[in-house]
Amino acid sequence: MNKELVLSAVDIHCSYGSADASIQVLRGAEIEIKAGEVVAVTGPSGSGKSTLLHALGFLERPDRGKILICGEDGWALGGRKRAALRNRKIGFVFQFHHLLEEFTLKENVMMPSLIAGESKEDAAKKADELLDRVGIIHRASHFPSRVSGGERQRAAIARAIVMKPDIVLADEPTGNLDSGTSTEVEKLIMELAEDGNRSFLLATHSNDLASAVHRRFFLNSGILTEGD
Amino acid sequence: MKQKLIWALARRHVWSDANSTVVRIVSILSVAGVAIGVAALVILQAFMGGFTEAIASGLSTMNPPLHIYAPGGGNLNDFDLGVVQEIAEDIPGITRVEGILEKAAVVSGAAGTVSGAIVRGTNEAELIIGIDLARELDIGAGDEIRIASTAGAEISGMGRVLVDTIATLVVDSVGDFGIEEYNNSLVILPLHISRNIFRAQGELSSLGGYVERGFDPVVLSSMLDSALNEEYVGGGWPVYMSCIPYLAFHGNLFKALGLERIAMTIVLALITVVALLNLSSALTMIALEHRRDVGVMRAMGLAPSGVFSISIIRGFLLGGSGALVGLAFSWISIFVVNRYFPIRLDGTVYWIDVLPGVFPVGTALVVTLATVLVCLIVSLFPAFSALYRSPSEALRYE
Repeated sequence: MNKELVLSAVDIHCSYGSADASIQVLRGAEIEIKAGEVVAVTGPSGSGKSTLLHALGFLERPDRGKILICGEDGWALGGRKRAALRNRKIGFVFQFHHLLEEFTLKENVMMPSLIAGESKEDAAKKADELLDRVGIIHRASHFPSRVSGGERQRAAIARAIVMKPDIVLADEPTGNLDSGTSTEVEKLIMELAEDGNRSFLLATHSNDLASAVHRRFFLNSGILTEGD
Repeated sequence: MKQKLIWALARRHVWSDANSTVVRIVSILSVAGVAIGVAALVILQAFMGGFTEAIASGLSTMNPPLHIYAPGGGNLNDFDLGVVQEIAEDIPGITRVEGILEKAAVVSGAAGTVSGAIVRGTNEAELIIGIDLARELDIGAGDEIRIASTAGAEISGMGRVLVDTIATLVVDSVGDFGIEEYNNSLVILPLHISRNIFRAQGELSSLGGYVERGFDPVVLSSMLDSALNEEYVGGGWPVYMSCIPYLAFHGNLFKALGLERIAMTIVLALITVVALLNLSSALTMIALEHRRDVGVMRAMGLAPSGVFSISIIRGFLLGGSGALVGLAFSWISIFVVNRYFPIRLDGTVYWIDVLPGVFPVGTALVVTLATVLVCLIVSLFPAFSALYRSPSEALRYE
């Protein structure tokens, strides 16, 4: 593979708590992901998968280490530029979809575009296309509380890719779904990765999803290792 | 578009049906609290201000705004009037100066009625009698009254007062002078008639100066007083005539009313303070309810300044809604009370019969703006909390 490096993280350390009662969550994690790669991180609950994704997405500042997304070090940027970097380059999918309950599915999908300053019309057009792509265009005007778990997660995935990010960080995207719906969402993620030559980093418990990806990492006791 | 989005987010955080019942109730209560606080302040100012204005207006209508008198209670005369008129001509804002002869007398109307009265001779061409005095004397316009003066009275050898001036006059009209005290005692008639009644040809008890609209009587009275002082004291005379604004005669009353107004404003402002504390808790609850949403927005690329703005706008929306509701409520209340449920007063005690509510536009504007400003200040705490919280921490919030 001679593809462009999308994500590079070196010697990432993260901890929680005060100095005298600190819990070390990540100990020197290192990972590289190239364009179009789908990578899974597995590990037991509480092993630090979410913390790793938050750190890689510039949502959580690590104690140490360097993270580059498409060559840009988000932590070296100011708050506004870092936010813009997240908006343009990174998509997030959360286990509990985290759609904004006060907005319809379409409005949720429009949100990143509106944050980027795009017009409402352009944002709506893009949202319609993506909702159609993920198969829930008929639910566009519904509020999250009025649709099924699978439909919410599809909307969340559409929202994550609406800005055509270079990488999508998905934290247990099927963790809250029944097996049938999980299979559908896993299939959708793999299709979207292939369609757009887009990289995905998935934190997952699902063996099916983990077995379908290009590479796998295992996180345990803060140590990230490649392989099963 | 970003600004519109931020406003839309804040608006839906505050008013959305997706909010929990507790947050919705607390939001409504906090708006109601602010509304009640604003309305209480505006209504208080409307009626306290209306009362003060009604009294001041009643006094000003019946008396020239500038009162020129001889210190020590001495009488003035037509020569003094001429001097003052000449001096006043050089002071812009004083339209004219007139002579007044005002003394106590006894008035009788229909058979068997008699009352004490203040008879005021002015440039008025008609005889006008206060409405309550007319009622007491059982007379109306066109009826005759008799005014008896003791000015030319003599004591007889038997010790009896011999009143030798009794004038019979026709009442031209019955007037409502606005103030109870005037309505039950005042008779206004032409100056020459009053001079005849009181046997005081050429004499005046005081002079009255009138002021052009837009000029401050206090300033003009001070200018006229200085000019009079210069004319007499500067010329080697003792102080002969002084000028004060008429309302200064009732200075203590207006000061007392002002003090009462301040005290009541402070008490009612405390209601607004309690309402704002309630608003603060509502904003904190809304912030907690939407903490994770803010984390999601940050993950999608919303800048920290956007998060800060959302919190401030939430405070503005809640506080502004409360202030506007309070403003509307107070305006409607004042209108309804004035129109349908006027507050009756005992005129013998309060001088006026009805307490008028005058919507205080300036005060209402200040109260509204101050409330909204404090709401913005109150929303700073949740705004800074949101600003300094990491998106990751916000996302983990359950």
